[in-house]
Amino acid sequence: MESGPSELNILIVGVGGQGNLLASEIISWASVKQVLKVRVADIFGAAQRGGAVTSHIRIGKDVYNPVMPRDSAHILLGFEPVECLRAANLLRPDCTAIINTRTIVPSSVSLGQATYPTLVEITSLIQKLVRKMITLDAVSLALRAGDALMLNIVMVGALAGTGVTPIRKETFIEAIKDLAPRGTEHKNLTAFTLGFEAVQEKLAVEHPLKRGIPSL
Amino acid sequence: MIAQEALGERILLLGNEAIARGAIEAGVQVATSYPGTPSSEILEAIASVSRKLGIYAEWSTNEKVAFEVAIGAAISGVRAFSSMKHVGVNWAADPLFSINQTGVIGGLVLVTADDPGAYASQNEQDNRYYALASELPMFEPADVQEAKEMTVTAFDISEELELPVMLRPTARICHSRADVALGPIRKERRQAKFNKDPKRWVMMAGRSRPRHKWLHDKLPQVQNVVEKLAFNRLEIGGDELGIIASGVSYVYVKEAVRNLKLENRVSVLKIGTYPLPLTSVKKLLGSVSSVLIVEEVEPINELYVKTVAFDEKKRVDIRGRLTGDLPRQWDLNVDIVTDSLSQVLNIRDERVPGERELLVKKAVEMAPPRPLALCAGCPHAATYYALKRAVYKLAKGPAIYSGDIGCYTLGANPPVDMQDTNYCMGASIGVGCGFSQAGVKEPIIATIGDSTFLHAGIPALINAVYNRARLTVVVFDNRATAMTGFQPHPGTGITALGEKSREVLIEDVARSCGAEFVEVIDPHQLNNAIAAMHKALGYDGVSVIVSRAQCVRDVLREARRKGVATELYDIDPERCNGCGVCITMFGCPAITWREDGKLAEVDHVLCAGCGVCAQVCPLNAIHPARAK
Repeated sequence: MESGPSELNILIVGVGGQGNLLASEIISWASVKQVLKVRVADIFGAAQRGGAVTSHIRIGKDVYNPVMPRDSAHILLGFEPVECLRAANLLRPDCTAIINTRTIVPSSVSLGQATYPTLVEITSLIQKLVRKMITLDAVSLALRAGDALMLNIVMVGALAGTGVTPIRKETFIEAIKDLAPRGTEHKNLTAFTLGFEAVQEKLAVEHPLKRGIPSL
Repeated sequence: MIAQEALGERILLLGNEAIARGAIEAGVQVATSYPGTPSSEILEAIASVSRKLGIYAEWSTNEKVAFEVAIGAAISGVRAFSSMKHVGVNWAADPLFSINQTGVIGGLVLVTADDPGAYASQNEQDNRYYALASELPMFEPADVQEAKEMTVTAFDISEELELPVMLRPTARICHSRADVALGPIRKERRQAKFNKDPKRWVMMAGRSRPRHKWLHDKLPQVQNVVEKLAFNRLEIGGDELGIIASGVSYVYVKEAVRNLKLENRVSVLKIGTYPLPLTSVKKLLGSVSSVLIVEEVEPINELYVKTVAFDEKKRVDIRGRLTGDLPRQWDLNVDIVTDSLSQVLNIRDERVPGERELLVKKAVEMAPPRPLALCAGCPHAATYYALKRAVYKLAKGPAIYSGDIGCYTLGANPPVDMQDTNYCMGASIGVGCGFSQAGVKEPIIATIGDSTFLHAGIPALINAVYNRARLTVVVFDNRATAMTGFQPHPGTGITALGEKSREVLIEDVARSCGAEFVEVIDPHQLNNAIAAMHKALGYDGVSVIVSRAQCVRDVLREARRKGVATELYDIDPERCNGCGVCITMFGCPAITWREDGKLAEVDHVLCAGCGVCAQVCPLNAIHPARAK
């Protein structure tokens, strides 16, 4: 089922503890600041403790249901590589995928009950499912900004860097200032900029993305 | 933000915050709760502005107490509100089935946050049954905005009818965010005044009989009220099929109808209240020959609509979860509803299964399962490891672990594997007593958290001691209600309003319950912990171990706030022989195998520096590395 033309669906996948929910809140708050209609589902169950966490962000005037159906994500923000695989059924063929390459090995793998695929296996498969894939080591960038925990802000910066959302860079920055814990604004803005620039550099050497999203 | 005046302005709110905002707009004066997913953020939001707005908010010791506190306020004429997860209402059910007979003066709203699909719960019980059983009105929101509107209306209706009103948001509403238009905040603060009226307020044998009739005499008035509410809406499109959708199911139906382009072929009745709007149900039944009922979770509306059709002598084909047109259990989504509508209306699925579908399948299969695990540095992991070692040292074979509700329930997953049962709050001790009294031979260990112990463990512990059970109770005291988001409880010495209060010490409570063997340990001192647990397991009677260490999330938060570096650990590859005890026995998620698969290593991004692995390692290969 193709999603209607006047909506933009952003899917965030990751692991509990990576700050995915704050990233989801920042993106949705930035949308509201630009007077966009937004519906968001944070799906974590009890999974604040190392389980899979997913956020569905749906922007557009005809959006009323927060949970996106299959084949409807325009953008995938993957905080952890294998979590991107798990969400494959939600991606549109013209999806833009931004993937943090740093892995978090689940206990099933450490205990020898399952295998963690190689990064090449993961990215070559995702590449076949989406129109554009951008990979970055968001944890290294977050560490450069001062704290590995800020990988979520690096990822928000990366999203902004693609330019495929109707949300302006300044609005993202305002939203981060509004929602980041007091005293961490400066570090968070550094993290945002590092993510933003990493993606812009990658896009500059490859072909830039078209702002393919119709008016919302 | 949640307290701002800005009438008509749109702000981003979580469903739970919207419910809190609704209560604030309605002028609530007393709000109570016990934390539980997916309800916890409701009281958190109210408590965050309670001082500013003059609202009393509390985290109560359990849901029964929470609801009773709200009852006391409501029968004294002020507006009161109690929120809890669906299984919490099982506790509050006792007062619920009496307050429905006395009714209220001030508006009283009971929020049951249901969890269809049981993503964060031991079951997916459908609490609409509580509204039916207690014969009280209930609202069920379809989206975040409506969750706020319904909360405001619930208070007004509660006072109009003099009955408590229930609100049933499901997890998908509680944990959704949306732009919400704000309404005015009612500033009135009433002086609480309880007017004695024993015939009304004293529900005892004899006096309660007329009150049940009083409740039944109200029901036609309740029906009249819901008939007029805009939360129910009949949207006439076409007559090929009628769809009756309640709560969040309505937005799934809307999207599925749009995607399948059925706007002119079907009519949709949106349901937001219980009892259902009878006039609209009858009208729909009169205009279509088949109806699909879409609801979460049980076939409550499906059965109701069948009785209406029977009474109306309408030959309508009524489909839903009982007829196999929708899954018999679990939550719904757009895809499920789309498939169901396609099947009912004989719409062919035009999606061609091709290469993409195979790739998607391959991707999903390639992803290794990610079971929930205790955090790196979690003191519970140390407690479990000490317990494992103590049981081994006891040499009486494997123990039986009677489990309970909280973070430590994750000890059910490998490699800990130390939860043999799990039912509900406090059941670890009760069920453990049962094992003992039935004559189960193995060592019996009840594992229970600090907040859970105070919620439901105390009567069970008294029972165990008084009736001479033989079991060891291990209280996993991490000084936090951690699983639900660090709400304070009486063991923490802080109230919901952020005020200091007298801390309740679990060891003191255990002793006053009659337990004679009570020891407090620090699980980070592994050898001492093992020795104390070994002694406790050998005790003939009820032994209590309070394993106390602050939750690692709190410890890290505090360190970050103070700018204190955490000492991280490393594994010396010269000493490590790959025995895997740190991974397969202790199970710290920060320790994984190196790429060669032969030796272990520490992921410094995840390591919390608890140092327990260094005590676990039989080869002394793990040492502090550097500060981060």
